[in-house]
Amino acid sequence: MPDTQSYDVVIVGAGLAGSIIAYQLGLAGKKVLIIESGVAVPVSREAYMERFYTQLAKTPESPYPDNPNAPRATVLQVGGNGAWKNPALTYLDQSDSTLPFSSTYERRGGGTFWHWLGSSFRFLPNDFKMATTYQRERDWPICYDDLGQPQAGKTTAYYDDAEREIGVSANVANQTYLGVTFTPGYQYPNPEIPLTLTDEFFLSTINGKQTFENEPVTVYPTPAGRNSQPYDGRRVCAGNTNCIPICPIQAKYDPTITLNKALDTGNVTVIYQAVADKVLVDAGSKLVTGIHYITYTSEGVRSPSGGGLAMGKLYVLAAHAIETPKLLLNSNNLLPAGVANSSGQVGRNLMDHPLFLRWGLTQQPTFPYRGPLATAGIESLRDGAFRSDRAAFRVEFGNEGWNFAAFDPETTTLDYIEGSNNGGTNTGGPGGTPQKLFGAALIARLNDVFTRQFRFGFLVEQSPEDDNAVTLSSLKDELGIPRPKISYNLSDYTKRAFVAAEALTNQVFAAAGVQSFSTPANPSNPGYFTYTDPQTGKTSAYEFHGSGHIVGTCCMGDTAADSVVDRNQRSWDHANLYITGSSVFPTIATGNPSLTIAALAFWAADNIKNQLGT
Amino acid sequence: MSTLTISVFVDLSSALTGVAASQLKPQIDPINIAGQYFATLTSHVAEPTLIKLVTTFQAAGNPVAGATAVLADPVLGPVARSIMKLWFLGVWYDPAKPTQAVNVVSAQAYKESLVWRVMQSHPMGYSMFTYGYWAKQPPALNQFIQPA
Amino acid sequence: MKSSRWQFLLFIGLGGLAALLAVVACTNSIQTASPVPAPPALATTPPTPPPPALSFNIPFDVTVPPQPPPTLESLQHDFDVMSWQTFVAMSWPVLPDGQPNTGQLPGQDGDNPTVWQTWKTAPEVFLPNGAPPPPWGTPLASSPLPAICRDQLQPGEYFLTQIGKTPNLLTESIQPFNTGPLIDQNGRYARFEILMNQTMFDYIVANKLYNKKAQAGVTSVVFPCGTTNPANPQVGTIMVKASWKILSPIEIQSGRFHTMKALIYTPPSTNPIIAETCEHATVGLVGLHIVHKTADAPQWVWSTFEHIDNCPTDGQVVPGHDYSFYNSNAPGAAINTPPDRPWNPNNIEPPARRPQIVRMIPIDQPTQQLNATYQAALRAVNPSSVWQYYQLVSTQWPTQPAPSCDVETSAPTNLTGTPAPQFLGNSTLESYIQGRVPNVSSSCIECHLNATTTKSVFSDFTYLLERAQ
Repeated sequence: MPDTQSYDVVIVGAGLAGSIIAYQLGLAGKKVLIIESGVAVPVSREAYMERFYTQLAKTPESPYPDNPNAPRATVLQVGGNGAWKNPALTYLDQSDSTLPFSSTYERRGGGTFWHWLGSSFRFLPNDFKMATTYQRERDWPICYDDLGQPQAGKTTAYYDDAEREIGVSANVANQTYLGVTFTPGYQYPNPEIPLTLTDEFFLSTINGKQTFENEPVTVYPTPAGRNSQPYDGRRVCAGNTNCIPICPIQAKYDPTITLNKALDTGNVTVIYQAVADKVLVDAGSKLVTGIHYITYTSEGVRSPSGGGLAMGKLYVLAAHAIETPKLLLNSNNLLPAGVANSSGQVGRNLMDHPLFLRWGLTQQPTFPYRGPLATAGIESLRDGAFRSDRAAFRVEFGNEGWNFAAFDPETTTLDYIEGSNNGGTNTGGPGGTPQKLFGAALIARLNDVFTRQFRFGFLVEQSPEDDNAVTLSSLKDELGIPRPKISYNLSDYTKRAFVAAEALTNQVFAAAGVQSFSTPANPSNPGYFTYTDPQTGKTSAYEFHGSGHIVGTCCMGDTAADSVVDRNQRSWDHANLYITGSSVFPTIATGNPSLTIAALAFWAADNIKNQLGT
Repeated sequence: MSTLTISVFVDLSSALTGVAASQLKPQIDPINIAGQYFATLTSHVAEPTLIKLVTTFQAAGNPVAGATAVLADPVLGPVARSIMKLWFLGVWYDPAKPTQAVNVVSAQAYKESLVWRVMQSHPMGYSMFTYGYWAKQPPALNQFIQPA
Repeated sequence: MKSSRWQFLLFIGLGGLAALLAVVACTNSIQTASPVPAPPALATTPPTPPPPALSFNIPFDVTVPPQPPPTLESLQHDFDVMSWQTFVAMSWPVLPDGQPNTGQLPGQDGDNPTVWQTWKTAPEVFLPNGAPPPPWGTPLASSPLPAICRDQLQPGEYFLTQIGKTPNLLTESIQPFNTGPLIDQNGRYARFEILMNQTMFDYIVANKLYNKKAQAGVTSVVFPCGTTNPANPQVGTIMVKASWKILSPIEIQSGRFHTMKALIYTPPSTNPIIAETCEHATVGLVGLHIVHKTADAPQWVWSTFEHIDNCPTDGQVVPGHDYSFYNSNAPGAAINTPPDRPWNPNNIEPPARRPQIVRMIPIDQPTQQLNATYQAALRAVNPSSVWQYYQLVSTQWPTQPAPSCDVETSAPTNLTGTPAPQFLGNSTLESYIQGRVPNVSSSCIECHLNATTTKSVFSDFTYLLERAQ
């Protein structure tokens, strides 16, 4: 197998974190090699959009072709009636999991960020010290100020750097809550994005008028990585309402932008279609000596074509929170527990934001299916004394009607053409029976229903649990690499948030005068679970979905005994190995992880530069 | 014996969907979505059924009565409902399996699918509106849909 | 929702039509003494249509004959004719004051400086600090040239004698949205420039749209449509985008290009690292977008022309043919793919880094036939005319034009006006996004609908306003 020339830094993964680090290192004159398992960034997004337009199910994966050489899970693989457990039907081996891990990722140039929504939240100060403040979960080895205020010798905070690179649109005044601070005089790169009519409706009916468990119910605009003015050579948002799975006009930031800047430095090389499968370590020094990868020729068909060894002075793993631990665990020739795993924590503490969907109809039209997918939410409940007892959540207002919640507009359109009632609104016939409509009556009724749809999404903070873990399956993928095996469940601490979410929904819906159409939890659906209140004995049933936020499997910490990396994102075990991205989060808090991934990447880049010296 | 022509197909579609024929197939038509749907339909449905569709529709004397008669027929009804789904959703559904989508006819069909105009909006992924439009009331329904 | 305006043209009264024709007729062209037509051939061959007249008058709008009733194809033809008439009028030999030289014909001396090249370029209008540009036809207060270029100016550098005209300074080399540079088969980067006619310039100045701070107070942008009103016909707003190729001595001598002497300025950059340079060069026109807002097409009429040697149509390579942007001896190379980054316009790129450009959407037959007739008419002026080597790719026009000149207000549910053809691109200007995917592949109107001011207000289909400083 051919050796690659030696680089200063080898990075596994051309996603958000990998691109930012490569860009920063390249600017500093360091030679960087990125190994990316997937295909190259295409010249234009025509092929992705054509594929998206012609897919029946517009899932997050819908624009992006399957690749047997670098396989990944899809939302459609999280099938009901136990299908999610069948490893013949899925990439993730969940055959022994209690609940289905329901979030997915992409393996290709630009990474999973092709289909992020754009929500760019800073974490809150208390998010970093859950154990100290609430005797729950664990503390991060860093604090808010490490990301939100400039560190010694710097003029910008890492959150500032991340927001500038992404081009976040927001207003400081509307983002200063629950202890969040900004560098003095800070201004977001782009102005705040206008709220939708749906947002305005909830603002007028519930904002500042309610409390919940002694906390105020306050609506805030969502800081977003999408252009509210021409920025960075890219167009302004046109409200394509398609952020997930792909923005047709690149008004929404994606890492190909940063990757291109990295390539512009002239110091960054990317090898695509190179699946890293082993991290090699020297027995004596414990230093990483290289990363072995398998190459293949064609995305559409199994086509291995040899491999190589990527070598550098320092190594960075940025392959997202399932493939990164899988790579470390698979690197078990010398170290049976895998590379970087003296703590035994590699793969453990897998977290997501289990998503609780509630949806309904307003009395008057609010005209959903317009604008970005989400522009506001209830953010005042992300922190509070209740976190001693139950997980916190943020509440996202969806702008896409019942598209996510009920597979609309197909479901409701079919209801009124066929005379069924799968969506729940078709009860206007005699005795509440469904109507079967055509012509003007059909148009009128469809217009009436669709223009009043809305949905809430509760992003619940899942607690880190040892048993929620990525391990190696005995089943292999088409290149002979073990597939990830998942063990996943929701703790009672997490489940209690669903109880609260349902109570808040009832309260808010009543205050806003809206009618709920949320369907009862269905045991045959994959995300079905129950919670029994130990005091009352009452059992409630819920359904959760994945939010697409995969986090926690190589956590950072204060000691080598209970974490994988230190506060500088460097492995305790191997002095030339960094791990970054959402893998290193000790907790998931309530904010979408993207901005924090980016901020940590900027910090990791500085640490790497320091270690390399001048 | 009159076979189904595009012209009759558009008239029937107009009666079924409630959308004016001139919107389904404009005089000057660079997209020709009607032609695509016509081709889709005639490639999946046998000629005798198409002939019966025409005769039943035209025998009724006015479009609404024609659509009613077609929809009530055990064989023609499912075909007519597949036609409606083509126009509203851009998706072909087999009349024999009316809730199981077969395929999106084309990217153009998705982009031209009418349900989004019925809700006074645009297909997700294809907005030809300007920045900030979502903060304002949309134009009225009759600016999106010309009634039949 | 109104039905297509094009159907209303059926109802133009004869009086109105006559007036319209009179306007066109009385401003019609100088005709050269045509060769005496040969006697008609025997009965069976159909008569060939007369060669098109060459006029220095830019059409005020599309001309649609009242009979027969218009069809998609006939309207496409009418717009294509308008494109050619506009191209010819704009390419007319120019006087020092910017007016067409009515005593000459295009190409009568082979090549000629053109009317459109006297128009203001974008950098002359969007000045540093948002300073107001001087009125049309008056010079800038100080030299607009970057310092590195000033010393290089030679006597006779300009062939245009209009005082105050900025020396032909070409700086842009990356296509929109960073898709990539256009590199020719000599390894040189092509350069782009954008120009505007006086109508556009006057509107920008009157509304202070050259100034970013002033743009904050602007809530609506509606460029003038012009009018065919016989009392006072006006040409509407016109913007132009030109792509230029640095010519080798052989290419200059070939006489196949409209050329100009230019200063090629490459601004410095830190990422990628690009040195500031200024270079004399003779450049040849390889691509020309002409965009014209008219009363019948408030979504503008989008015409695009290319040099005939640019590149082959996909699947129709002529072996051994010398293309400017395609190597017919390397047929296996990936098409329409820019080279790896970084891109440096100062480089002379090696063969492996020269993209193979191919036209993805063929020029349709009727347009090709129209091209042949105009090329013949231009060649008839002088067999050495450079203008015979240009072709119309197509014209995009709204099939459901907005009811008024204010598109955003008058057509809120169909801002694009349902353009025909749906997709259109110039192989030199939209090289890497040629295709048929909605909202992504090159489509003049769809893409330009996303254009705004610096404050995100819809800018009436031009990206120029986001350049205000």
